Amino acid sequence: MAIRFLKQDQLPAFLGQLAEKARVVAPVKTDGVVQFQPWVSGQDVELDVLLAKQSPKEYVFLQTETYLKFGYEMVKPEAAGGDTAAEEADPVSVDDAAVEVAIPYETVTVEPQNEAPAQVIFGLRPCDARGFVQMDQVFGGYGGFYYDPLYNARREATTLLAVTCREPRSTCFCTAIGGGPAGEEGVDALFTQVDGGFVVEALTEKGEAALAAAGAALTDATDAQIAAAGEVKTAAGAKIDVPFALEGIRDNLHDNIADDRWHDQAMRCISCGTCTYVCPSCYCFSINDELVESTGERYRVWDNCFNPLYTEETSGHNPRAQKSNRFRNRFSHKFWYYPDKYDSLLCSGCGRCIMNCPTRIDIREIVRVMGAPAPAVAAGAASEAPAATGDAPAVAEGKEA
Amino acid sequence: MADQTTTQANDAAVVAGDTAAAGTIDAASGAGAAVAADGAAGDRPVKIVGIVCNWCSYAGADTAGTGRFKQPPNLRLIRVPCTGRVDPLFALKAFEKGADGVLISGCHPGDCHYSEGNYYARRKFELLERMIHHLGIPKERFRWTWVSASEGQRWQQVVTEFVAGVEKLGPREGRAL
Amino acid sequence: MSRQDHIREFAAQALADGRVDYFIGWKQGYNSSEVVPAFVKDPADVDQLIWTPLCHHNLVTFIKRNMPDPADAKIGLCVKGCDSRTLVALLQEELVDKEKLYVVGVPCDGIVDRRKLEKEFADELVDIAFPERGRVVVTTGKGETREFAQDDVLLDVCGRCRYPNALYADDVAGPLEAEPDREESGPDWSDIADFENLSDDEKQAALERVYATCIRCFACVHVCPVCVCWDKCVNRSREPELVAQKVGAKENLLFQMIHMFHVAGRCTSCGACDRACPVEIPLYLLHRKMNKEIYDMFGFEPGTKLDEKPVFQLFDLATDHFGD
Repeated sequence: MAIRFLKQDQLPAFLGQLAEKARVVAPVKTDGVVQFQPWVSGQDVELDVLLAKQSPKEYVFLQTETYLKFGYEMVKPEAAGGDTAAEEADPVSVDDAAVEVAIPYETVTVEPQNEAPAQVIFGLRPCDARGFVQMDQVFGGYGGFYYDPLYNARREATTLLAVTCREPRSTCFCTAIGGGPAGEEGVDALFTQVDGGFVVEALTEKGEAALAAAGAALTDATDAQIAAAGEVKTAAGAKIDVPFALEGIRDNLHDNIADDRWHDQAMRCISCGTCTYVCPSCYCFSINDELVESTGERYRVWDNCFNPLYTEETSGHNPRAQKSNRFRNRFSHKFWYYPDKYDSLLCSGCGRCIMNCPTRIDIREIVRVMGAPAPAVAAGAASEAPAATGDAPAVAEGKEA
Repeated sequence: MADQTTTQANDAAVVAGDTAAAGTIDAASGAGAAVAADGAAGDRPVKIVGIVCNWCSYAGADTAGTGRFKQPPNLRLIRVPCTGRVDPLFALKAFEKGADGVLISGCHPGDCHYSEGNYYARRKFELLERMIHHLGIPKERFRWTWVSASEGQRWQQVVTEFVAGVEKLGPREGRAL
Repeated sequence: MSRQDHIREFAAQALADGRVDYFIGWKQGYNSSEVVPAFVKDPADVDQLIWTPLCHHNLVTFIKRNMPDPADAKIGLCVKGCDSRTLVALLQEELVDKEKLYVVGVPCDGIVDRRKLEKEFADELVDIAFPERGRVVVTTGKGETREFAQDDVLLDVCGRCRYPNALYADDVAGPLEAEPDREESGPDWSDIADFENLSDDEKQAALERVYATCIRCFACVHVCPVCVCWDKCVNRSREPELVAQKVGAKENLLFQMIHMFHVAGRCTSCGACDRACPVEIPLYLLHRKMNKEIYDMFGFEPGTKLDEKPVFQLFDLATDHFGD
């Protein structure tokens, strides 16, 4: 696949052409806040601010996704066999002879929802794209055993056009977990900003198809441009710190599960869900049925492990009743449980959770501290006085509530 | 105190949940929601939720009924033990679920069956009344008042006036809340 | 001796004496443009505590229900004037135990709004320095440096501050700041005039637009020092289902209205919700409006007098004439 070039001033035309065939989603600044939004012609795409507040996951894994709509309906027996149009219920007939056949009965109608319009997400970063790959394993993993039709329909209809990060932030740590500012995992086509425009590489067939669809705005890239793009990628990669080494984190988190330091780390957590909702890979959700009068819907809505109700059981027992238990879960999930299951990490290193946390809790620090072997002193003290703060594992955790 | 707040909130949910379950709001106009969705809602009757205390205003409404005082049929009543039990969010929830107006009524000050419930309540209602049009809901769509068990005629008058006021504004469409 | 030194001294003393199990103050975050809450357990660690105009966190949040860890901890904390009002509000309703607290009041001359500074640059901020009182020097990731006057970049709440000194404190970190004459002039509500003057339709449109961006992370509720229901929040309850968990303008708005009315009489407009909101919804606007109405109705400023009760837990036959 040829490497192409998109002139800076051709960007609106390029997106315009894409928009003829699919919905285009791009980072746009509104009231000073950059968010991924459905792009309309004439809007400026904001690429100078490195990361939008939220990752674009909400366009594939909707925050509220209706599974189906349902309702009660009164049906007259005569009408039941034929058409399904709703009919007004008649009062029960007074004609005795007709009673057996004429009593209207209630039935349930179910209307599955499944919409997956073609869409192109432009201007996401390689870490955002990697988040999708990590979510893919959950919604389509295990060879399709847990295949989620709604998620996958959207995912398949979505093309990811990522932009290389030229100026990584100090909160970025993608290189520490195997990605990079020009990472290609999950990316359909990669745009690298050089002088005068973007060097564009299609990485998948989907990406190639999108570029072909908007081919008029593109030219072939010159060797000089390609070389410049290469330099941008290398330079950006060098700017990112590696705050921790991955080796041993999984085992250490496992060993540290009852460690008192979780309490210290969780002290400033307010137990909101900001980190999970801005995260490109957090995928937890809950399912609700909501009924108003006689119609309702079943929908999936984002949920998060900091929600006190997230683990509450029917009995009323909550295995993660304390803030520190919930706090521990998020990091253990990302660096221990998920890797155990899928052999990859559930974090792409975008750093959004760090910069959007109301108290700026730093995932890098948590992983560095809790992903390291417990200090010998702490280990000794813990074994001497195991119940010092009531944090024995799992079984005892619900007590405090 | 924290626990008290909690209980209150949960109880609140029960009552407002009943609102929806009993079909109080949409049922008033038959297929209100469907009509609204069609966009041809201008003509549908307005739907009004009345939240009344058991001892005075509910009985007052009863008196009005027994006395055969003619009233507009747009009002659906929710009976609560006392206006002191009414959380401002009951009214907001009714608006959210599609009510065109909300009327709250209880015992006159001094007549509360529980001595002082309505003394607390009126402070809350006053705040809600002052805030409501800052939440995007015109003032005329919300009213709170006192009607005693014997004031059938007053009930008729309150309902008639309030419904007329809401009808003037028409059904709420394209609303934020 | 600077206020920061006072704070460190008080903290070290209280920890050494065993008066508190831990002390809550502020420390530097992941870089020197960020300040985060600090929890100090060891007197040797008090040097991490700082006091700068970036210390915006209302630490009273960390003493409300279910926040202390362990639950019966004796806690020391720093409060600014605005924070102390939320503490007083909790004390008025006996939602925290005075005996378990050690409070250091920190007189404050205004907190810098980091978001205002962020919006001046496309790049991230890596350092915010205060070379002297009134001057703010900001450095970005690429090394761009610009200076601002502190008064220009203060939080909106600080511009109208009536309580620069703590209303409840066991010790005070340094000399008090000058207090405005509260007898002479009431609160200044001019900041909400623009919103008040919109028509009903315009208000509706404005609210819908603003609240549509809410992602229901509940940071506003959790960070609110006077929002105490925690895991029994009516906004989250699924049994019964009062508030739809769906995310949409209408549902979000109802959720925010409930939050607002549930803290009526307790909310001091400290602005913590506003600053915690990751999508920058101006939450404090409606809360301010509500407080204005409460002030109009009762002449009541929440959290200012320890011996008062919140107005919605009282009634006054002599002066209440609502609905007559």
